[in-house]
Amino acid sequence: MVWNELIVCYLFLAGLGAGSFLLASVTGWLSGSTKKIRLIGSVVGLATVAVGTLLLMVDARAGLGSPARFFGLVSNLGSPMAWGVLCLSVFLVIAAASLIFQLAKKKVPKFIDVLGMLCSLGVATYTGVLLGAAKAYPLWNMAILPALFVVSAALAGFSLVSAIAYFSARDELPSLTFMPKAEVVLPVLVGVLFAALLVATAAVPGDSAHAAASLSVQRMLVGSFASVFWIGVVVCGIVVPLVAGVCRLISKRRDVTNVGMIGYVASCIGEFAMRYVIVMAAVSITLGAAF
Amino acid sequence: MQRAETKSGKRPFMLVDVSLCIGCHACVNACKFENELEIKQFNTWIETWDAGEYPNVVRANVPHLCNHCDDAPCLAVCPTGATYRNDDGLILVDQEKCIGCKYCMAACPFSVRWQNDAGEVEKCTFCVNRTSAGLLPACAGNCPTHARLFGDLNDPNSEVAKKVAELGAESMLPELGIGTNTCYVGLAETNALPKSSSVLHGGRVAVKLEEMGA
Repeated sequence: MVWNELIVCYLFLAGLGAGSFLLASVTGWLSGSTKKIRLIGSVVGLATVAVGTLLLMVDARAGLGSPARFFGLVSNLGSPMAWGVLCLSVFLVIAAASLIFQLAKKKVPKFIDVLGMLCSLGVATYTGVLLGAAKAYPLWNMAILPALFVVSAALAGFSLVSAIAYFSARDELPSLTFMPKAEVVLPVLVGVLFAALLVATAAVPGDSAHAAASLSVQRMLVGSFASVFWIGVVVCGIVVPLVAGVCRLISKRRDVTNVGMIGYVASCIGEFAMRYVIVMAAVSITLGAAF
Repeated sequence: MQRAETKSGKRPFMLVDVSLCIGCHACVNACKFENELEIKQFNTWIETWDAGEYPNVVRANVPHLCNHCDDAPCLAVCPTGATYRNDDGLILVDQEKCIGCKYCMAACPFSVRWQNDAGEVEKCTFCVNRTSAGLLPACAGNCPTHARLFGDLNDPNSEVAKKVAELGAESMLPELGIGTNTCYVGLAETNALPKSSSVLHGGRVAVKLEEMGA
């Protein structure tokens, strides 16, 4: 594995921020009062993506030593990383602009919300494409990772914003009318896509790729990453949020309760665990070739 | 052997005959002296294991180095253009442009890239400083058994082109179809034999035998 915990944190924060700001942007189309929730989503989105971007720069040690080299980052537009840098830059500008409108007590223009949604989806998608394009790691499946990272980013971001709103804007939570359903659908999608990732990985063709892929899956299910996988990804990231979501959906008033709060916290832990195992448990085709 | 065209019309190429390699590490040491590499910095290394089942066992020695691929995954993902292809088709890194994002390292299927103390990525250059002046790469020049042949594949009179015409050339991961310019003779045959020992990198255990059943 070439990348380490720093990149795991970056991928987590980028997803969390993208999901948070996506929720903030979507509130522009809701009828109820959502001012405080929008503010929470915008602040969290801007802060987490900004911190994540800083981690990315810290990880790129040679660039940190000679910062002028970062200006070359968009030299090769064939590289997903160049597009990622553009996505992150536009995201930070749009999130800051949206925040400025809100702090100035002005209505956020519709085009800012549209751009906010697009660049949130862009940031979440690209983190999956980034890994998918590194073909030496069969676990990093280009067909599945982008979608998986988008739904898990939405789950974690929506959860974090809702959790903060539970303490500081509880009166606005009912305005997020789609949330009771989203809290059931998103964990299910994360589960289905992760299962698809495991199946697709186990079925990778080619002797060396297959050996590397099998070892990656084995490391997750029964090997050195099994506890993070089962407790983090499966229990915290899928089962607990799903149970909490179903409890809310079938309840009479569909209010957020303490059970819902447990689901929110678990979602965030689960998203971190998922990106952790996907980055850290991946085995290179080089090692597969040695088998 | 069909190869992507280069601007210069040349095609620097290395052919490694696995049956001739005795695992002496002269190439590794010559590379280290030529490129002034420190401990734990390797542009080339030899993987060694016992192939076959006792008593029919042979010692496999497989040198690894940059494959200077025609369709190089590292080149495709480098965001800054630090990784580039020169006129002869060699894949090189301009350290002045490298930010150390490690994307090329994640993309390389042969894991030949590494970071120096400043975080910049380095790897085998086919000794471009020597070969552009008509000399051999340090590894090939110091190989006592001629296991490593280097030359212009596009020159039919070169030693390497003649041997490729005679014996063919195999890629290390042929299923990737990325047109490697480091090729082997006898690699598939060696890989087809069951492994009866751990795989060593330069004499150190890299993959334990008991892990290989996984």
